[in-house]
Amino acid sequence: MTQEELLNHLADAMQRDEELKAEMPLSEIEEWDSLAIVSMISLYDQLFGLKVTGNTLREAKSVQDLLDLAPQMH
Amino acid sequence: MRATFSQTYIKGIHTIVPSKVIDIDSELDTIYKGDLNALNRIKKVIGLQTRHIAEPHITASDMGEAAANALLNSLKIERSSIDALIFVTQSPDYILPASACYLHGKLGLSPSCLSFDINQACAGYLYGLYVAHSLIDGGGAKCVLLLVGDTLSKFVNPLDSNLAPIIGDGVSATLLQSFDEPKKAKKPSFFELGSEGDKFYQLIIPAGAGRIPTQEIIKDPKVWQTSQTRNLHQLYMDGAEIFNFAVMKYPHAFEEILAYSQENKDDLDFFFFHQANKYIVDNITRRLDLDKAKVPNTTTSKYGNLSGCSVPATICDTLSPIAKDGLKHPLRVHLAGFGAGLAWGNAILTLDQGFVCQNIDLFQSKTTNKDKQ
Repeated sequence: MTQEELLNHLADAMQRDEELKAEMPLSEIEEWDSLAIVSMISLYDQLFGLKVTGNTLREAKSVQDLLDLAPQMH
Repeated sequence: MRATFSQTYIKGIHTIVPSKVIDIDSELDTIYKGDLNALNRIKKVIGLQTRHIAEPHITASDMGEAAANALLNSLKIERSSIDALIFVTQSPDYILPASACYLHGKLGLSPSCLSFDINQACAGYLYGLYVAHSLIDGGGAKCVLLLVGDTLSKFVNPLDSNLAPIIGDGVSATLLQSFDEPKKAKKPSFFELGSEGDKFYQLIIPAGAGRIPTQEIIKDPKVWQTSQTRNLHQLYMDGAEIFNFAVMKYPHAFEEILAYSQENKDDLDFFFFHQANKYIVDNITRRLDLDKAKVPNTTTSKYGNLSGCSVPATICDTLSPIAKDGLKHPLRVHLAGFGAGLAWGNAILTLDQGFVCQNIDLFQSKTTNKDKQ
């Protein structure tokens, strides 16, 4: 999966209409809340079979931190 | 633990919710502070719309009494024939005595009927069914009245955006009876239950009972982050971890009961999961590769998360069209609850020919006490 594809998945899971960029701080993303965190847990499990905890996601500062949780991005 | 029963069957279920309805659209300016996007995301993803909330003077035992009266009347069960009354609740009227004892008196049951509460929430219906099956298969009881439900809204701040929109109130009554020997169930009932007590703090009301809460015991700092919308006497939920538990851990329990019962999931007619919310049930359904048509998933949008009452409420909501005058054909069903404790329970059992359940009923506070007298 390319970074762009994953960004689309992330935006979709957050129910965000505007584009997501890697350098965006999560604190400036309106949709980043407890519901988004749960959506991320489900998304990473679905896409990669990866178990991400709520605490790990709460520590993420930027969209890049979310991308880094995925294995081997091209 | 696992158990198999063959002497017990469920005769009927009746579910009651409070008449007061809150629609999430009316909370745009209060809980969501005017953020229409946030409100719409919650509605779409979590699947919330309305919930029924008990007025301050209505408790779980009031609805339990009404549900029990409606069920016993519709099934024409003699009160003197009930050997045990179990109330599964985490919102009792008093710390002591048990709500079941209070209701034993209100319902006019026999002095030889034992009455006790079980302190379980979302897994509570499965815990209650398991205990009721044990009492009957053990030979001590022929007829058990099982009440399950809560008014958890009393322990949630109405402005807590994490919990208030999700939690609804409701109580169900289930009647279990023994087959007349030598008759036995054609297919046994299978149960699998468990708990992960080290996660007790992930769904908790920290203060208000015997323990003065300390950070030594409850180490997670999130529990202590109180605010204007939550104090320590109100419900706390770590939504992300509970989601993880329901969606990652729970499916293993499902595989276990399938292996234990040696049943094929394709042969089961319905899967009644605890309706934590639509998103969780959708996730579990996808993970377990179940036929969506067999997994009811609209209870939360109508009633919210009903705690232990959600499984029986969903059975009533789904099956009342074909079971209000008694099921014509038996249904083999899977039931599952998971939540506070953390605890879970699974069962595969038969709702037999003649099983009765009605539409979910509204609580009428004026008539319930007078009806009986």
